[in-house]
Amino acid sequence: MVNPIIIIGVTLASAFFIGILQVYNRIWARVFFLLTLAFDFLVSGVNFYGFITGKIAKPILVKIGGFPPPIGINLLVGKAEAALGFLIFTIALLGAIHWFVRGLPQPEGKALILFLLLSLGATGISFTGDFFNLFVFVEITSIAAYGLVASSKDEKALEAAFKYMVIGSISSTFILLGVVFLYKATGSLNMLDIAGKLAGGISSAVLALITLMILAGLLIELEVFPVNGWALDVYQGADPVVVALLAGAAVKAFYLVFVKTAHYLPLPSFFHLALLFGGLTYLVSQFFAWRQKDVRRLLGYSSVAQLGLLILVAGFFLNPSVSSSSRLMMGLAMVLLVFNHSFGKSSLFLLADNVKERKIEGWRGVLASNPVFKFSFSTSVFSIAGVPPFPGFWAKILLIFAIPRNYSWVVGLVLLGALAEVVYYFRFYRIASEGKGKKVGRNLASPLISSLILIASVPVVWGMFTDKIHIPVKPEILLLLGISLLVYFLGASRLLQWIASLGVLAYGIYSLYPYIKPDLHGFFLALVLFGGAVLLLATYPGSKKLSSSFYPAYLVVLFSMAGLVLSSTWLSVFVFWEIMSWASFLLINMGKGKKAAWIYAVFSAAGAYAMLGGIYLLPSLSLAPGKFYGLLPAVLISLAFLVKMATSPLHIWARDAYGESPDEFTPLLSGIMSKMGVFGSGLVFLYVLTALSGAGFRYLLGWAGALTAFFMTLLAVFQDDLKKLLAYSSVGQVGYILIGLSLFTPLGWNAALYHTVNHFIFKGLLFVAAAGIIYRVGTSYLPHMGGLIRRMPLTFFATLLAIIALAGIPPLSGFAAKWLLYSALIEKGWIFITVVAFLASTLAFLYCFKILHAVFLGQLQEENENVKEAPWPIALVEVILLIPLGVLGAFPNLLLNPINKVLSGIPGMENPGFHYHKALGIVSKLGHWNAFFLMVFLVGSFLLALVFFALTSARIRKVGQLDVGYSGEVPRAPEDLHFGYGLYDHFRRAVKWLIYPLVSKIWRGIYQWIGAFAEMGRRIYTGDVNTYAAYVILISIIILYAFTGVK
Amino acid sequence: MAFFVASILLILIGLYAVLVKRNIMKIVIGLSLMDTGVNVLIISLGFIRGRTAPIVNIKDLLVNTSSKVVDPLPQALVLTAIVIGVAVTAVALSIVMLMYSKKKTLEIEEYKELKW
Amino acid sequence: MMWAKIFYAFLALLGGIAYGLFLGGVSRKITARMQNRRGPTIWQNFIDLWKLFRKKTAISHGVMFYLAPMFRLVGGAGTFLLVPIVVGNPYLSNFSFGGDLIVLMYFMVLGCLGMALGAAESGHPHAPIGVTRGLSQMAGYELPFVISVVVLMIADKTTSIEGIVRAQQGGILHWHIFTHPFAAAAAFISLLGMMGSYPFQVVLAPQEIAIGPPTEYSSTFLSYMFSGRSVFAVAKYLLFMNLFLGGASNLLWAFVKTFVIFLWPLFITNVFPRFRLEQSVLFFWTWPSLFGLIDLVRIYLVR
Repeated sequence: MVNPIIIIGVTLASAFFIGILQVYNRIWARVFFLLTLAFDFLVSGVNFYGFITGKIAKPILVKIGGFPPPIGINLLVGKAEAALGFLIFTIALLGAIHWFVRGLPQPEGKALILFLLLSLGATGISFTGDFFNLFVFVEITSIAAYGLVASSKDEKALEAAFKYMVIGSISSTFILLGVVFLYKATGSLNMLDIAGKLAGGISSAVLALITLMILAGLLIELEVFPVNGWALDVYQGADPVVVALLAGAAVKAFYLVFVKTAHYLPLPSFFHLALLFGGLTYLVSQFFAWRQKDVRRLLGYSSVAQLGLLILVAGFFLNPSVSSSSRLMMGLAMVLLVFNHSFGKSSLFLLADNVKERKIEGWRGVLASNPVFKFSFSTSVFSIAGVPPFPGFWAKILLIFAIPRNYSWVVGLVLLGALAEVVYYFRFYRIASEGKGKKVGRNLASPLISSLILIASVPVVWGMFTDKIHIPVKPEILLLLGISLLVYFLGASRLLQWIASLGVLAYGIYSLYPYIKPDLHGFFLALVLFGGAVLLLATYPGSKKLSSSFYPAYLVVLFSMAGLVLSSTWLSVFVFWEIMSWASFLLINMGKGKKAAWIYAVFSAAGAYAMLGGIYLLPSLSLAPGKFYGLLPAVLISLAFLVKMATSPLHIWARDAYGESPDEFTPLLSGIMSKMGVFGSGLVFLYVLTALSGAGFRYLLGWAGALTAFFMTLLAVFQDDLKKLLAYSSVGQVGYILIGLSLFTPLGWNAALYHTVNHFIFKGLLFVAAAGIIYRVGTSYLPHMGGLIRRMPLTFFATLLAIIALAGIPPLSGFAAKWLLYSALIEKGWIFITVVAFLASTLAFLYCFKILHAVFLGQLQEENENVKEAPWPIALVEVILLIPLGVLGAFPNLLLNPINKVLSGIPGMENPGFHYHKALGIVSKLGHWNAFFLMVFLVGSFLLALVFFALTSARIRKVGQLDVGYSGEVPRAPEDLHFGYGLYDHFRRAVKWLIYPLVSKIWRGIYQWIGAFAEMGRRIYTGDVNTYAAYVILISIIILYAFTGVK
Repeated sequence: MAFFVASILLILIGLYAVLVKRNIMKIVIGLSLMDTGVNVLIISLGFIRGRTAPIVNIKDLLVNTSSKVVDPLPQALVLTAIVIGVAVTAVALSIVMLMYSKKKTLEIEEYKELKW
Repeated sequence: MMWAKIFYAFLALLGGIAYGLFLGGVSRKITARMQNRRGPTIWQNFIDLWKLFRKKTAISHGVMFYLAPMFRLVGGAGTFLLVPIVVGNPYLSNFSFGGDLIVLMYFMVLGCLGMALGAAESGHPHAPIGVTRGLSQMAGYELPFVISVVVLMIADKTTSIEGIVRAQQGGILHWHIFTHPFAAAAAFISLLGMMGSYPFQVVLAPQEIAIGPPTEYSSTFLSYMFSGRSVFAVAKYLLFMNLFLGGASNLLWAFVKTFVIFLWPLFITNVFPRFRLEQSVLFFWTWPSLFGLIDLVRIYLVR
C-alpha cells in the first residue's frame, strides 16, 4: 500500500517544478513529466493491485495535517477510488505518449503543467473524503481543463474553451453553494460523517434541496441532456488528446463522485432523477449521432450517451428497493461500462487525431491504410458498440437482466439506444473501411489501448461463463473458439491457415461428436459440423485478396453456431447468436459490399436486441417446454431468427450481403448460418409458445414464409448477378422451411428439417460452384458468361443436379421436401398458403433455367475461351455434395428416419404422419410417393432410351458453336448470338407492379426519417453560450422543483 | 438580511449577464459578479449578529470561544473560493484575449461555429 | 406381377404415343377443314415421325443437346405412366403407384427442363427466347391450375389421383366438372396455356422464332422430341379426365373423354388471335384464377 497523498503531492510538486525546469531545459522537462506520470501510474497501480488481490482489506483513510476527521480534511480511497485512480493515470500516460509521438501544443511547458494538473484534479475528485475539498479539486480540474482545451489555440478550441468555462463556472457555483449549505445544515463537511448523520434517508425538504444543488452541479459536469452542448463543443473543438483525457478519465471521476454523493446523501427521489436524466440523455444522444457528419462530434454524442447510460445504471445501483443481487449486477455492469468506454473512447479520439479529417466522409479508406490502425480502430469501435467479446457486450447483458420487472420499459430504452449506436458506429466503420487507403499519422497509444481492451476481455469472458452470471457452455466450445483465434497467427500463408483450419475443425468434430444426439440440438450440430467441414474444404485457394483474419472468423462463426445449437438456456443462445452475427459481419465486410455489411450489422443487431428483450421477459431462461409465456416474448425472440432467415419484410439485407460477401464465405452464410434461424424458430415454437396458444402467430409466420418464398423467387428471376440471384433464391427457399416449421405438425416439421439439410446440400453446392465460376471467369455478372459447359463440365453437371434438387423435380433429393410440405399444408388445411407456395415454386423454374442458360449454355464468349475447370478443392466439394443429392433422391428415409428420431422426443410429434409401404413408398394420410421406384424408373428408362437412340440414330455430326440456323447468313462472333441480357423482360412487363421495391423504400424511409428528426432535434445545441446557460438554469429549476419531494 | 438580499441580487445580475449579454467580456463580468455574490452569501451564512471575528488571540475570546465568534469555516471557505475565482477569471480573460486576437470581435454571434 | 405391369405399361406407352400422334393428325385435319383446306391425312404425324427417324445425318451442338431428346421422351413417358388410364384396373393403372398428384405436377417439368437445356446449348438465340417465354407462360397458367388442384385435394381429402377419381364415382353429377365448376373452368382455361394453343401460342411462335426451343433440332433428335411431346399431351388429357371427368371405367370411355378434352383447345385455337406474353400471364392471373378462387373460398368456408 502506498499512501495516496503521495500521488497528489508528487504530481502537484512536479507540476510546479516542470514550470521552472522547462525554462532551462525542455527535454528534461519532458522527461520529468513522463516520469511523474509513470510514477503515478505505478503507485496507483500498486494500490489497485492491492485492492483486487485483497492485500488491502479496507479503504485507506489519509488524515491531512494530522487532524482526524470530521475536523480535518481527509482522503478516502477504497476499491472504486483506487481503480479509478489507476484508470486516470493509465489514460493520462497513454495520452501523454500519444502527445509526444504526435507533437506537443505550444507553449509546451504550460500544456505539460495543465496536463498534470488535470490528472491530479481528477484523481483528487475521486480520492477526497471531504465535500469542500471536492469543490477545490473540481475547480483545479476545471481550470486545467479550460486551459488545456484552449491550448491548441485554433478558433474552434478557443470557442469550446470559452463555452466550457461559462457553463463550468455555473456548475461549480452550484456545487459550492450546495456544499456550503450542506455544512450549514449538517455542521460537517466530511462525507462519511454526513453520511452517518443521514443514514436513514433525507427527510427534510431543505436538505433535499441542498443535495439536489450538488447533484445538479455534478449532472452538468456529467453532460446530461440538454445541458451538454458545451461538452459536445469541447469534444468537437479541442485537441483530441485532451478530449481523451477528459472523456476517458476526468468525467469518470465526476461520475464516481456523483455516485458517492448520491450514496452519502440518500435522496429518495434520486432514482427517478437518474432514470429521467440518464435515460433521456442516453436515448436522445444515441439518436442525435445518427447522421452526424463530424467525426469528433459523433464520438462526443456517443460519449454523452454512454454517460447517460452510466447515470441510469447508478440510479438502479443505489436504489434500495432493488434486490441486492440485481444491484450487484448493476455494479458490475457499471465497472465494465466505465472501463469499456474510457479505453475505447480515448482510443478513438486518439485515432481521430491521426486522421486529420474532421468530416466523416474524409475517413474513407483509413482502414486500408495500415493493419495497426485497422486493428485499433476496429477493436475500439466494436468495444464501444457492445460487440462480443468486449466488456461492453457483457455489461449490456448484466445491466438488462438486473433491471427489475416493473421497469421493463427501461430495457426497451436501453436496447433501442444500443441499436441506434450500432447504426451510426457501423456507418462510420463502413465509411472507414471503404476505399483504397489513405495516409494516417503514427499512433502508438491506440494500439496499446486496444490490446489492453482485448486482453481485459479474456478475464471478463471467463468470469461471465464461470462464476458471476454463469452462462452455461460446453467447455469444448470455449476452447475451440480460443484455438480458432490462434489461426490468425498463421496469417503469412492462406494455405497454411486452410490446413490449420481443417485441423481445428477436425478436432472440433472429434471433441463435439458425443453431443450429436437424436434431438434438435444434435441434429443441427451435425449439420453445422459436417456441413461446415465440407464447405471449409472449398474455401481454398480463395481469391488473392483474402484477408488473414478470414479463417479465424470463419471458424468462430462455425463454433459459435455449435455453441448456439448446444445451448441449454436462452442466455447462451443470445450470447452465441451475437458472436456468430458479429463474426459473420466481419466476414461479409471482407467482401466488396461494405454497405451491405453495414445493413447486415444493423438488421442483425436489431434482431439480437429484440431477442434479448424477449428473453428478458421470459420468466425462466431454461430451454424446456413450459407453459405459454405470452406472445410478446415469442415475437421479440423470433425477430432475431426471422432476420437471419431474411423473412420478408426483414429480407432487404440479404441480397447484397450474400451477393457481395467473399465467395468463400457465402456457402456457409446461405447453407448453414441461415439455418440457425430455423433452429431458433423451432426453439420458440417448442419452448415459448405452446401448441394451442401460438396458433395465430404460427399462421402469420406461415404467411410470412409463403410471401418470402414468392417475392424472393420473383426477384431472383430478374436478378442479373449470379450470387445475388442465388441469394434471393436461398432466402426464398428458407421461406419454405419457415412454412414447414410454422405448420407445427409432424409432417410439417419433417418437411422443414428435411429441407434444412437439403437446402444446405444444394445451396452449398450452388454457392461453391458459383465461387469456382467467379474464380475462373472473374465476374459474377450473368450476361458476361455463357457456354461454360464446354469449359467447366463438372461444375455444370453439379450445378444441373443442384438446380434439379432446388426446383424440387424428382428424382433428386429436393422433391421430398416439396412433397412433405404440400402434404403437410393440405393436411393442415392452409390452402391459400399452399397455392402461394406452389406458384412460388413454379416461378423458381424461371430462374433455375436462367442460371443454367446464362452461365453454361448458349454461346461461349471469346474472353472466356481459356477458362478452366474449377480448382480442385471446389471440384472435390462439388462431387462430395452430389452424393447425398442423388442418394437422398432414391432413399429419402436415410434422412427422414433420423429426423423422426429427433421428432419422437418432442411431445405431440411422436407419430411422423406417414409410413412406409412396400409398393407405394412413403404414404401419408393423403397420398403416396415412391422415391426409389421413380429413381429406378427414370434412370432405367433414360438409359434405355439412350441406348436405343445410339443404336438407331442417324450419323451425328458435331458442329461448332457458330453453326446455327441464322437466316442463311453467317454469324460473326458469339456475342451476336448469345441471349444474355434481359432474359425475362417480357415477364417483367407482366409483373412490374409486383416487384416494386416497396419494402426497401419503407426501410430507407424509416432510416431517413429518424435521421431527419435527429438532425432537427440536435438543433437545440445552437452553439450560443447564452442558450446553453439558459438550458442550465431551466434544468436546474426543473431539478430543484420536481425532485425535492420527500416522504 | 441585507446581506442575503444583496448577494442574491448580485448572483441574479451576474446570471442576467450570462444569459442575455451578447458580448464576451460582459459574460465574463457576469460570471465574476455571480462569484462575488456567492461569496457574500456564504459569508452571510456564517455571520451571527452580535458576535465578533473568529480571531482567537484576543484575550476575552479565549474562554467560551464558540459562543462569542461567528462561524469561522465559511470565511475560510470563502478565502479559498476567492482564490479560485481569481484563477478562473484569469483563465477566462486569457481565453477571451486569444479569441479576440483571432477574430477581432467580442460578439458572441461570431463564436457559434461549433453547434448541432 | 411386376414384370407384367411393366409390360402392360410399355404397351400403354406405345399406345399413348400412337394416340398422341393420331390426335395431332386429327387436329391438323380439323384445322384445315375449318380453314376450307383439304389438309393432310390424319396419319400425317406418323409419316413425319418415320421420316425424321429415318434421316441419315443429324447435327449435334454438345452433350446436353444430345441428351435433351431423351429427357423429353422420358419426361413425357414418365408423366404418362404416372397417370392411371383406368382406375382400379391393375393393367391400365400404369405406374400410378409411383406417386400422387404432387409427384406428377413436379414430374411434368422434367421433360420440359431437359428439352430447354438442350435447346439452349444449341447456341441459337431463338431457343432461350422460346424457353423463357414458355417458362413465363407456365408461371401464368400454373396459378389457376394449382388453385383448382388444391380445391380438389381439399375437397376429396386426398392427393392421389386414384383417390380423386374414386371420389367422383356414382353418377355424372359427381364429376368434379359439375361439383366444382369454377375450379374446373380455371383448370380448363389453364389447359389452353399448357397446350400452347392460341391465344397463348407465343411460346412456339413458328413464324418469328421458328418454333422456338427446338429450333436447332433435326432428324432422329426431333423424332424423339416429337414422340415425347405427343405422349406428354396425351398424359395431360388423361390427367384432366381423371381430375374432372370422373376418370374412365374402360379404355373406350378413356378414349372418348380424352378426345373431348382434346377438342377443347383445338376449337379455341382456331378462332382466336394471339396474346403477347405479358398479356397472357396477366390473363391467367386474373379471370381463371378468380374463377378458381371462388371454389377455393367455398371449400375453405365449407370445410
